[in-house]
Amino acid sequence: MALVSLRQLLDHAAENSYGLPAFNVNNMEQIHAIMQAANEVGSPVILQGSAGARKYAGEAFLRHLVAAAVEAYPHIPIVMHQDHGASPAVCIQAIRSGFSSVMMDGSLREDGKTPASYDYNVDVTTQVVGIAHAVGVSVEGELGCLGSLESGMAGEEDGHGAEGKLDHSQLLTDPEEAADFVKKTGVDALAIAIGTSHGAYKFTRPPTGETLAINRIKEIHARIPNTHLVMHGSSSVPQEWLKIINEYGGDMGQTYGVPVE
Amino acid sequence: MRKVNIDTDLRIASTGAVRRFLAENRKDFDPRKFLLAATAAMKNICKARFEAFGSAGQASKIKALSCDTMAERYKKGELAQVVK
Repeated sequence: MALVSLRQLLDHAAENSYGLPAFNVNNMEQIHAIMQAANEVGSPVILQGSAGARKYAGEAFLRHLVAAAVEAYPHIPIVMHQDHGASPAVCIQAIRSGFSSVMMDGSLREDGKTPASYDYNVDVTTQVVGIAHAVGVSVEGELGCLGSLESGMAGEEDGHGAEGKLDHSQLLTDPEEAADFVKKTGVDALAIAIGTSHGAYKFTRPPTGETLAINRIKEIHARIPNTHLVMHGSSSVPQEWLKIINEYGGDMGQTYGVPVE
Repeated sequence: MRKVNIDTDLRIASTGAVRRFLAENRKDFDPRKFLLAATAAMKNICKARFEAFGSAGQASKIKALSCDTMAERYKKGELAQVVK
C-alpha cells in the first residue's frame, strides 16, 4: 500500500464522515502499538514526527522505522507527517526524508517560541505549499497560538510552543483570518487554536464552553469547507493511567484533557 | 475536526504501564518485558481512538495514490481550496 499523503486520507475521511487520530512517534514501541492497533481494527494511520522526535531518534532511525511499518503492513495506508516544522528549511528536509505531509507552523517564529506576525505566517506557509505541492506532499498550517483560555498561559512541549502570557485574541483563531489565510496560502489542513494546550497539564477542571471554544470550530469550518481542521493539544489525559502513575510512585497530581467525545 | 493530534495519552499510558510492571516485578531486569507492557497499554489507547473517531474499518476502502499522482492533481487544480 505504501505511504499516502495527508490530503488524500483526510479527503477520504471528509467524504465518509470520520476523523483520524494522529499519533506522535519517537521509537519502535510506539510504532508497534499504533500499527498493531490499526491492523486489528482496519484503520488507516497518521504517524507524525516532531523536531523532538528527530532529535531523540535521529532522522535516519525515524525514517527507517516508518519504512518498516509500511513494509510490515502493506494493506494499511500510512501518512508520515512532520509535526510543527519551524521553518521552510525544516519542511524541505522532511520532504527529502520521504515524508508525505509536512506542517509549516508559521504561527511562531523560527525559534518555535515567539508569536509571529500574520504576514510572516502567510509568507513562509506559501513558500512551503509551492514546493510541497509540486511533489504531491500535503501541507498543514497553523493559525493562532495554543494555550489555556483559563490562565492565558501559552503551552510549550518538546521545545515548541509560545512562551508567557497571551491575550484571548491570540488564543482563538479568527474565522475571517482563517478564510484569508487559506485563500492566500492554499494549505490542505489548518491547525486552529480553540483553548487547547500541549502536554498533560491542560485544564484544572473538566473543560467547559468557556475554556474550550467548540463553537469556533463550526464558524471556521463554514468559511473553509474543504480545508481539513486539525486539533493540537487534544490528548484526553486518561484518568485510569494517571491514577496508576500516582499509585506506583509517580507524582502528576490531578489534571484533565480534552474529552474524546 | 478531521485530524486530532495525540501524543500525551500514549506517554501517560506507557509510563503508567512501566511503573506498574516494575513495581510488581521487582526481580525482573529484561527491558523487553516492561516495554511490552508499555506497548500493550499504548495499543489499547490507539484502538479506542480509531474506534471513537470512526476510522476503524476504513483502511481497505482507500486506494492509495502516489505523491506523483497527487502532484498532478494539484497541478490540474483538482485540489484547490474553497473559501466562502
